[in-house]
Amino acid sequence: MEIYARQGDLVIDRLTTPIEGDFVMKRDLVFAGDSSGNRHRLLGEVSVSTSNTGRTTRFRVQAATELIHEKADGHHTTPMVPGDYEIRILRERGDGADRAVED
Amino acid sequence: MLENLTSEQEQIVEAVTEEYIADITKPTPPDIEVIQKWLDVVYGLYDLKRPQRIEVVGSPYAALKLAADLTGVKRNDTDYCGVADGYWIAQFETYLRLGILKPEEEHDFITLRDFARVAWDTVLLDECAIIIRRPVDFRVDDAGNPHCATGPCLVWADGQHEYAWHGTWVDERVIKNPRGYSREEYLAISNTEQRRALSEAAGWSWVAEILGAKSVDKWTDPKTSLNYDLFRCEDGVQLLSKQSPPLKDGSQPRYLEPVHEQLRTAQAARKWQATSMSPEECEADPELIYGSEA
Repeated sequence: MEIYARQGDLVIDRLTTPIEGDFVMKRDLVFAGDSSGNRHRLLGEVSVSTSNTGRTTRFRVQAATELIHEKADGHHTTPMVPGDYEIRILRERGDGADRAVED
Repeated sequence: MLENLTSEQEQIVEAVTEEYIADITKPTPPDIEVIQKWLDVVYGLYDLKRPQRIEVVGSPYAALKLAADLTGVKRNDTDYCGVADGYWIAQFETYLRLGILKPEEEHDFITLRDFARVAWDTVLLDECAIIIRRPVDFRVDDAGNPHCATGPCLVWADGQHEYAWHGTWVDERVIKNPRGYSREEYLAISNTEQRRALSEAAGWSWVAEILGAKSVDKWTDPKTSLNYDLFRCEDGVQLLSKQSPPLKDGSQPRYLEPVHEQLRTAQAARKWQATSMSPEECEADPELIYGSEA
């Protein structure tokens, strides 16, 4: 199995089939890191699927951009080429069930 | 417009950067004249006059309490106006020293810059301007992250204090008595950065000991050389110890994250974390290649 990239606790999966359904435009999308303040941010405007649930976010990148980590000495930047993606947070086990890794 | 910087101009950029980073931890006392000048500007932006009442308090906690007492409304946030603006104030400081700041921007910028050097933040109300003093003690590690391994890394003027481990805000116990955590308390920590901070403060060998965990499988990624170690406790709880890809400062911290009880190998546990596949599916085909890992 090949996956496009990982940045810390985020798995960045480039989808081979187009996302179906409705989209909403969003700018500077933020992923995880809420409790530490060290957030991952997708720069610029992307089309985000309205059917996202749980620990995954599906979106369409129209123009090349970057996923950055806001911590100054944190993760290196991940380049994002145009395409459809799913970003999900790594999972771990807790209280007998799966949960997203929290940071 | 400047397209390229001369070596002298680059030196200005470096100097401003160093100056502003060094300033963050300075316990500069409040200067009421400088504060009043900024309040004139910021209230003026809303066509208001600076209120008669100005209260200088010792911490954000005191500021939020006073604001709630005065308004009857609980607040959770300060204005984030002051030291937290240092990153862009430094940018404009650079423009000022390079001589490219617009004349009409200079007055308000300089007023804010000077304010941020003598105060931490504000909570501005119509009838009262609450000014938060800078901390009296603020310690950071070599990378500039809030950190102190022996006590508070940040002490406010009213005695309130904060603890941090290399940039991760932690409970006082993590610094003062990290090995006082029980096994149950350790496993109840759901935040991976908090878990890492405690593990580093207490020592990874202590973590293995307190958990009663033994390594059952190791794996090193041939592409990245990142290593993974699957630990199993007597009660079946399993944790994957994993090495981070190199961060911007070159460090590679370790993380310890609970994984499914039915996993048998470290490589499969790595794949289980990244997918929605079952433990059995991951064990049957544990290969997972990332285009890049950061």
